[in-house]
Amino acid sequence: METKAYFMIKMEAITGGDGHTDAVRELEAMPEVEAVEPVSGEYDLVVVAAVDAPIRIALVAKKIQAKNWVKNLHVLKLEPAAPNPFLDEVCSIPGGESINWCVQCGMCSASCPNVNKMDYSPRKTIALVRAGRRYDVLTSNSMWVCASCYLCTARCPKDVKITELMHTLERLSVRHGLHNGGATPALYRAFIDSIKGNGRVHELGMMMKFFLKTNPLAALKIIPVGLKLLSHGRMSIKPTKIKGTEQIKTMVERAQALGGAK
Amino acid sequence: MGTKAYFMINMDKKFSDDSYYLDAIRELEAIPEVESVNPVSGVCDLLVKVDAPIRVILVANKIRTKKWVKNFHILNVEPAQPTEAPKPAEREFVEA
Repeated sequence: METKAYFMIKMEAITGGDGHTDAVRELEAMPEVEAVEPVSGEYDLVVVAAVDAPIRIALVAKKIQAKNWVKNLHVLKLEPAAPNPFLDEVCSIPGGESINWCVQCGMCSASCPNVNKMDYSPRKTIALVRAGRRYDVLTSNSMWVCASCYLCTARCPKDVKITELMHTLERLSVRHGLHNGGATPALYRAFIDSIKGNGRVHELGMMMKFFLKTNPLAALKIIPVGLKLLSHGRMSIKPTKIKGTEQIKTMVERAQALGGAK
Repeated sequence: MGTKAYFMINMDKKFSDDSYYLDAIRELEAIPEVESVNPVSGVCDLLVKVDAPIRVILVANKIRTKKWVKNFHILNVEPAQPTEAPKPAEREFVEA
């Protein structure tokens, strides 16, 4: 791997002759040196050098320091690349690691049935994550509008798990308190609580919990629907547990420990 | 061709968080006179190369106003020195 550095050199006072030019030529003759620029200010020369793995920048610095015309030398080591903590965070959550395989072909955006309702299309969302635009991505509605139809995932030529990625972004937006999904996170929580308690969804309990946490008055609108479901036996008043509720609970808790929203 | 210069920028510790660092790089890259922005470790945090069309100090003033700049040094690039080595064509002629 190549390491790059800038050497800022202050020269000894050279009186007469071609001392300055000779110094520049001496540096240019070094194989590690890419460019030498004479400057005025706190330093006299700026040297750009690049070395490959076994050779270290410190050795090049020693070579330059050994020249008799060098008064002092400061090394500015180039940082490998602009860090992108947001991309690292997305990649660290299960489902988010496939973001690096995207080639930005736009097949996901072309396939998405809800793209017209999204702030950013799936392709653009991936591009924004890669650009480190945490706030823009997490405050957008794109991941919340995702219908989880998996059309994008099925058609992606690079096997990017876009639907999983959208769920990953949902989790991150909730974790950072930036979500723009309206009541959706509350619905998800009510659903998971119901699953943890009974091993399956208890519709009445889940909706009651959801409306109590969001807008209790909105529940009045769906009371007629609820009554119809009850009268036709499509919804039970009492929750029923399935066999192995404990195992389901353990699975959900394990998923939450891996990065799911608590 | 304008005047080239290097700016050695030290960032305020308050803004040394990753996200501020990235924003600072983007802000600098958005300045039209800036040729390259290099995040470095050493005596300074950022090494910026600029090509000032009129005066370097005008570009310096643009950067000095950023809230994350603690201090910075300007290194003006001196114009290339005339070389005494023969031109390639001449060298070929001499060798022939």
